[in-house]
Amino acid sequence: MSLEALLFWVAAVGYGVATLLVASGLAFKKERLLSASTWVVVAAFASETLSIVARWTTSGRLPYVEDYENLLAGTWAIVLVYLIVVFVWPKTRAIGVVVLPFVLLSLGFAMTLSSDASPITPPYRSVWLGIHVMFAWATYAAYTAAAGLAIIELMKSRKKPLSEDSVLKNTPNIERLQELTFNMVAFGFLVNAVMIASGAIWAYELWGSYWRWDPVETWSLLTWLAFGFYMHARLTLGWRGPRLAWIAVGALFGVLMMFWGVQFAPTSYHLFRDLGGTMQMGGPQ
Amino acid sequence: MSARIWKFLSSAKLAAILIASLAALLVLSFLVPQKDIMPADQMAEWLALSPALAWVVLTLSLDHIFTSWWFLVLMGLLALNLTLCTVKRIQRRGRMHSAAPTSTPEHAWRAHVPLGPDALVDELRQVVPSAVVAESESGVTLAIRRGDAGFWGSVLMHAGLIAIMVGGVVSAATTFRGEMLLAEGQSVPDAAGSYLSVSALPRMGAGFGDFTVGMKRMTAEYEGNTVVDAVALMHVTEGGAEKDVKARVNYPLKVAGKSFLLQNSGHAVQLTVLSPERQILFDSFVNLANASPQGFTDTVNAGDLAVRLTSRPDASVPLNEPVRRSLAMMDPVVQVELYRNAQPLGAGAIKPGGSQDFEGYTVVIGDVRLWTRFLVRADKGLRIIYLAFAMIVVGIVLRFVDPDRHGFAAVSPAGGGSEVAVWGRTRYSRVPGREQRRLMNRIQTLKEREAE
Repeated sequence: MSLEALLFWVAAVGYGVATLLVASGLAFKKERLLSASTWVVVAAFASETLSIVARWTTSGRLPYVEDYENLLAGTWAIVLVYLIVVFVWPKTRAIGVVVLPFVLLSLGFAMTLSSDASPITPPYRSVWLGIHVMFAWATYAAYTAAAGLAIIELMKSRKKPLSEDSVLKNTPNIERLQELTFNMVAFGFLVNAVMIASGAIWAYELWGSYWRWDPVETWSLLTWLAFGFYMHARLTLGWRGPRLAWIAVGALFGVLMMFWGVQFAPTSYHLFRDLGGTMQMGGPQ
Repeated sequence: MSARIWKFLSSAKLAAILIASLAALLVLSFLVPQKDIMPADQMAEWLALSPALAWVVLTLSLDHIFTSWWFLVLMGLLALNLTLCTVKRIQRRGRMHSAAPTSTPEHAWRAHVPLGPDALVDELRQVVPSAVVAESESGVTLAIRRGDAGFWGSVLMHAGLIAIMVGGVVSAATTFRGEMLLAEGQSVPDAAGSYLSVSALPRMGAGFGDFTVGMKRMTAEYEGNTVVDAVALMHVTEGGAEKDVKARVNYPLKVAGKSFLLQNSGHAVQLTVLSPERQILFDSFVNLANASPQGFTDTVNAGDLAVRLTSRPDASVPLNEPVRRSLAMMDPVVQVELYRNAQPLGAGAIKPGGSQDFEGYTVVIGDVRLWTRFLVRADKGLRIIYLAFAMIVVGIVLRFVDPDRHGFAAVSPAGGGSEVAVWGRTRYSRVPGREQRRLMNRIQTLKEREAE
């Protein structure tokens, strides 16, 4: 087993343990388990970072080319934002109940796509692609954190009052949670826009078309519209409370489709295994 | 009547309906294969699964949702609605700016300060010097208005969305789509006959320009057996001026509004076939169109003859071994198989500059070069689209960095001191804005100071 693979496995196991700790903390009302989960995530995150560095060192390039690399770096970005949120607002640790399973499943999926790092082919040699991919990671991270915060809000705003020993008692009040969710959505909305714009510019320079209604393009637009609706519902229509939180949670489906759904699309320019075909061998069509 | 139409067309409700419809269509486009993306044979196979479903799909144009007339109507309505909503917002903000609050809302933050109203107002004005002071019978109101950049950012973002739709229309009307194949050393004018195919001509303006484009040399760089860089040295003649420009994948050649996007390459073979009577039966470059593990292959016909050509970049690699670096021209060789009326006349390997006789017929291989396929695009809507992207991104940044907000402090005399209420009139949040927080902090400090 290579060092990169070993570090990857340590990270995956770490996120698995942290997921169990968060779930147990919420189920058994133990604040200490939530606290412990954060430190386990820190350790797993360090291992994942080293795994990325190991791949980077081996291939001599940033890991953004293959599906496996995108999942690896994408989950890294999601955990980074998660850690920033929980260190800045420690009371929000419970969002791990959404973020960590998402990360764990993504890494599990990445394992099925794992491959040795290959040289970077001409279609991937673009500044715009680099920007596109980095902003895609930031988008996934922001929206996942927003959905996590919205879930806590939903759990806290149930009709049945929280028991005295519930760990959710220690989370920020609902108004504060709404603010944090909104801020995360706003950030996600911005980076999502940059992701779409940079992807369009790259697509034009590579394929001569800035928009082709490709399934991933379509889902990223849908997600952007869904979070745009979230913001209009709050700012223009004055919505508050669970129905707004449900939009933040529901719109995460779009992120799932962008992140994983492409694999099930009949055809897509975002299937990285297909893209490498350009500039190798081929005939006039 | 016109007021009702204006109200409906500029309503957030219509925007919600249109965006929800658009979202539903986007989901539908994921479920129903789109002919722009799916290969024709797969599309036909899918439609054959259920004739009834195929009828519905074809009748409602669901196989090309994004180019159907009703999608365009939807987008047109959305553009109109967005424009009217934005205009309405600008009007409403103007009214909001000029209107002083008539009452203190319930959610306002309140405090009693043991200071007279005039002294308190003076203290508060030091915190927010730009506040507009309005006196009324009940007391004094300080109005702080901030977030002009945020407001115009929001307008800019919505204008960007409208600009994207405008750009889309301009693109549809002005786009040029073609494919061109150039061999090393070949130069052609920008004319219909120079293209392999032209799939879209602009509905407005000329489709072709007054220039020639050629490819001097094509080089591919390998790492292992993978192409890691490919550079085409292009030669352009435009308006009497000549220049050499490099084109790469992702970095197209741009000339006279057209982009030449490098796609893929193969081998071009200069072939001459002579009859036993020394008559020329074939004399031209042949772009070998098919890639195979043995090299680039194609078959050309010359009368009752058929010549099958397989070009390999390195003669030292045995024929039974697959080609690894197909574009790295080392010591090229062409495997020739000659047939007459489908009967084989012979086969042999010929290097550039060489020839071979096959039962009286002579096959000459003059040269082996690389051809490159370019997608050629022109799109006058592109600049509008890029500008729209910039407007959207800048607009969102401004919107959230400096949100549009109104803060108020109402001071009235009460019990030997003053009653003060602080609140905001921002839609962003009821959490106090920066100015409100500064006012509340100062009031708290004043209370503590006076209490001491």
